[in-house]
Amino acid sequence: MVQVQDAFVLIDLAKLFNNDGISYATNLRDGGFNVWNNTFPAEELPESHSIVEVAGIPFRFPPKEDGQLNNILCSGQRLDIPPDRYDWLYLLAAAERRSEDTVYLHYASGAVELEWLRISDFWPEAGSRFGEIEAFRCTQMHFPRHVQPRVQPGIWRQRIPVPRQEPLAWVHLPDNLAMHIFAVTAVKTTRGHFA
Amino acid sequence: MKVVLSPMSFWFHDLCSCLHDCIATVLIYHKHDPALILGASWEFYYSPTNVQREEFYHPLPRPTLAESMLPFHPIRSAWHATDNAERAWADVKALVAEGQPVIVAVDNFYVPFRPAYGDVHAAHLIVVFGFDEATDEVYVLDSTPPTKCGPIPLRDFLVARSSDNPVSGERDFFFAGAPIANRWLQLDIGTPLPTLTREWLTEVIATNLRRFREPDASPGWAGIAGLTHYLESICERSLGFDAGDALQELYTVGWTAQGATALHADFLMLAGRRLGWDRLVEVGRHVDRLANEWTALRMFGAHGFTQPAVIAERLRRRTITFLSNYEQTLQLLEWAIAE
Repeated sequence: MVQVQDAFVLIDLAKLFNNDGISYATNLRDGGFNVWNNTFPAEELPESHSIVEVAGIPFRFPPKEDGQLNNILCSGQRLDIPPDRYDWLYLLAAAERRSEDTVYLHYASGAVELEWLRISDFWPEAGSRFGEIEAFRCTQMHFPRHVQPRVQPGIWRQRIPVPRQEPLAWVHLPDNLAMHIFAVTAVKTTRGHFA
Repeated sequence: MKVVLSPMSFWFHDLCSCLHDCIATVLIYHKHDPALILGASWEFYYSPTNVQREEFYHPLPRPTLAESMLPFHPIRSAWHATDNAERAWADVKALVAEGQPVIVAVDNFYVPFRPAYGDVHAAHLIVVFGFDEATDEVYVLDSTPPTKCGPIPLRDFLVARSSDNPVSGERDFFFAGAPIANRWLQLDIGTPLPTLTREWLTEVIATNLRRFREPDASPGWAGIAGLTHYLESICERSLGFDAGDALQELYTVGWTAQGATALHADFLMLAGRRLGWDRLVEVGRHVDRLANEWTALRMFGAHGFTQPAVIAERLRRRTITFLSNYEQTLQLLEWAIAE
């Protein structure tokens, strides 16, 4: 269900989730974020379905429980947005190695524009290569057979501009298996001066 | 006898392998800037008969690794391999005692600080920078998280060095299968190293472009034609009987190409900024985009090798746009040095 908080529209991604990248230490084989089946430690991330604020932007954090899918592994999906005028799409995202790709912004008028989606590596020491804000940095990584201290995966807060001054309807995500999206919040155009 | 070289520095790059990391650490120890050395050369080369299942696999368009990776600098290299672990250790130790950090191969299965310890076999490179004969310890540096800079037991070290690195588990894909064979890499850094000037940089780029456009005759697939041939062959094989092997190989071969591309992007942007050559900084970002695009290609290989039928057409489409972007970027570089 879409949730609206002032200028923020928290997009419901549940139907698009197709990857489980988070596990509890009690079940390390729950999911696999990357090809090695590493996962983020659920114990160090926000509560399932909670509203978490990252640098002023609220997001709905995905479910972490065993067997629950919690991110979109980008495979060319259609992400519907409640039609409205927005300035930005904010994302909680991480990549299995740094990647950048095009997204298509489809407007209610039928107009389409290309924008960039850029996501840095979730791996520790990789750093933010695209100027994202670090949303979460864990202290350990889950491997399928053990918990590994000092390998510290991260999730980034990235954003995509919505340049056309008209209602946005949906976003066509790239077919890029490196890119994982955990949450999306659309920020409405609210200031009259810019409206 | 105890020898511990210092200072030692970590060096990690998100798109590079342990080979780049280790060479960078050695360069820094010798007071050289790795960004200006590792990133100067940019080319594509692939030899179908010589792909190793190792993170540090690097094709050799020229006789040695240094001539292949670092052709614009007076650096020489030699890989050494032997069945005799004690002999190999004596050789490495002698170089360290002379003041040279040495790059050595290990099987992570036997390296206590690696996540794969006791779990997964995988070939890897680390730097040896000291030893203590009294405590039977070896001082090693590993820039790959979880980082390590300090002693490990000599016993563990020697076992990791002489491992057969067998394929034995469900998760040993990509980097198991090739024996470690006590290999070590000797680097000799000569002088003088070139000074960064616009003229030198122009010659470097022109040489790289020539290697893309008119590669030297060799048994491998080189240049933009070789890259096109390679990626098209992977697409074709992904529809055939050895689809899984082809897609796994794309992950390994692509790592070398991606690392070199990313390093060259950093090199162009750094050198361009230092020389006030704005156009080159901009073109460097285009090269960086290619490095980032390699990620998508490699992930099709990594995630697709168990389900090639699902991946094949998507990989083909990605390949077509990637090669088009590659061609455009080479053109931008040609224009940049012609201005």
